[in-house]
Amino acid sequence: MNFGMEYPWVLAGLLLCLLPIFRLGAVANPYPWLAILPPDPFSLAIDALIRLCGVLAISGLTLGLAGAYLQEQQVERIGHGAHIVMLLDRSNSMDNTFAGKAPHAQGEESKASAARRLLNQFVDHRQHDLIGIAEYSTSPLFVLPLTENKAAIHAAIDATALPALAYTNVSKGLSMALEFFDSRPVTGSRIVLLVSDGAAVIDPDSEAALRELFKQRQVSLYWVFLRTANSPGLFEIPDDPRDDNAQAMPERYLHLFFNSLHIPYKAYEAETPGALQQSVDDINRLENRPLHYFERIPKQDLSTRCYAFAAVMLLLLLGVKLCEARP
Amino acid sequence: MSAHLQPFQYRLPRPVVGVFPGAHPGQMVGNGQLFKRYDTLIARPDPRRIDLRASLLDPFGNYQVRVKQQHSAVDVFVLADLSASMGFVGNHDKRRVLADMLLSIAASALEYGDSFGFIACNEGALTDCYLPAGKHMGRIQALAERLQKLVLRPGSAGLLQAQRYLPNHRALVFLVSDFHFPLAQLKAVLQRLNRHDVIPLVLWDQAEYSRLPDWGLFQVQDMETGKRRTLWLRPGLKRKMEQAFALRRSQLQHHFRAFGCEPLFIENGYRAAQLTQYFLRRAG
Repeated sequence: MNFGMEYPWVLAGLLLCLLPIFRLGAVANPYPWLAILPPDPFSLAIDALIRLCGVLAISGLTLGLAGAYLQEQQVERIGHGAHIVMLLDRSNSMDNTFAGKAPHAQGEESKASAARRLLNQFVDHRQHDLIGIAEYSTSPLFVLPLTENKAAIHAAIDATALPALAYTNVSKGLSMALEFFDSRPVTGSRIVLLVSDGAAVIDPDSEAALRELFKQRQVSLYWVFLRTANSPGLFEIPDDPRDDNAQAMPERYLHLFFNSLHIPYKAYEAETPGALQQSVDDINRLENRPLHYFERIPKQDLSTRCYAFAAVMLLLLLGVKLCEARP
Repeated sequence: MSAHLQPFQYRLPRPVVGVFPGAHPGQMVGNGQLFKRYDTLIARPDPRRIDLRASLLDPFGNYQVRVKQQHSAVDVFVLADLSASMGFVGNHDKRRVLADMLLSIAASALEYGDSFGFIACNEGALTDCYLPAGKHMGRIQALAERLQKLVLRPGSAGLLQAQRYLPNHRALVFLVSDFHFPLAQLKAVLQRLNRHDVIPLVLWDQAEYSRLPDWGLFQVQDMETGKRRTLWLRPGLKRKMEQAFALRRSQLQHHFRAFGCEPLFIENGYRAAQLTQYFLRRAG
């Protein structure tokens, strides 16, 4: 419980709380000698209560004027979920349909927009996840750190509606995605969700670096491969052994590389929007480990409550004033 | 003079000591009606009062003169407590009551041919309100007027110094106060006044205790000290207050009687008949 004030100097008004201690707002009837009056604990108690009401009313008003608020706080919670980094491909080909052409006709959907729609649904299903977004094209793009702010995540996903960029550089994208988990406690699952429609060759240096990073970060990898029609698949073994190299079939070799990492890894070949849906549902179902996370409670304005409290106290005092007897 | 300012009759329980002839039985011998004793003509050279029968019966053959008791005048003083609490206005204005009392006592004293003086005290004696014993009604009336306008200040210690302003011989002193000060101080005051014949007039007002509202919040402020106190009035508390005043009344009576004087409680404004009854009861 951390209190804060919008205008802390207004708190000087709390000195006014001394007023009811010194003076009661009642008419002072002159009396010749107080010492003769019998002691009356009940009257003393009433007197103290009235003064207390006065002090509380003035302090309530002052706190209201000072704009008291509760600072943003974090509540520790245990839920089910994961830390998910979505690594989205922003290469040109993502703007094409699954048929491999630019969407023109009504009802045709580009791979990017299908991914966008399904990822938005996915985000809505995952209540307690921390989701970060990175994109890659020729260079990796840092979009959104791991956050629980759903509105920000949706906005970041929707931002992929902009026309895509240039080529595909998956190794830099992966290392950026893995950096998201730096200095994060290992709790729940850690997932990198790679959404791409193609792959590129990873040079041996990057390969070694990625191997190390994956080991250190204890990340599971899901690769949703949006396969364009007639393009080589992940599991396809070429008929001609001469074509079986990283340059000719980067997807297959990337898949082999991921398999060789000895981490939880699953690849989905999505050839239609329905298949993409299937893969997202799969992740949704599988990755639900207990998650230790902090829920943020936003700053709460207390001035309204202060005013309401002061109003109650003032009403009480008004009632007391109406109870005042006239000689 | 209005009806309640009428003079009353007072008499003294003991013979007065005074040289000047007056209306009260005194200790002086001289011209009077009441036979006191025989004395020799040498001692009392007043041949008009030679008692032949007593002279014949005197074995030494001296002329015996009848000596009569002379009625003497007495000085009447009003010693008033003019502390702030005397400014209380309840059913009656205490200052108004005091002024009425002053005029009535002065009228009675002048009617008897006695001198009248006035001493007022608060923290000290108020010299500007001091009136030495005299017989000038105009000055007394002017003083009564001034009392109405006087700013009252707190304190009642001046009562202890009042005896300096009183004559050395016994005088009739009306001690007017609300006696709202500690009983120890009352004792000291009475000890200093014990030479005189003191009539304590306790000026109270029923509004102080019985005319308060039955229910409600009521804040009272001490007129002397300015302290405030909040009371939640209810019949139970009012009963307690009345009991407190009844207790105070009996304590005051007890203390005054210990010094040989009976207090007169004046709670409903001044009436001369009340004082007349007081003196009748005292003589009886």
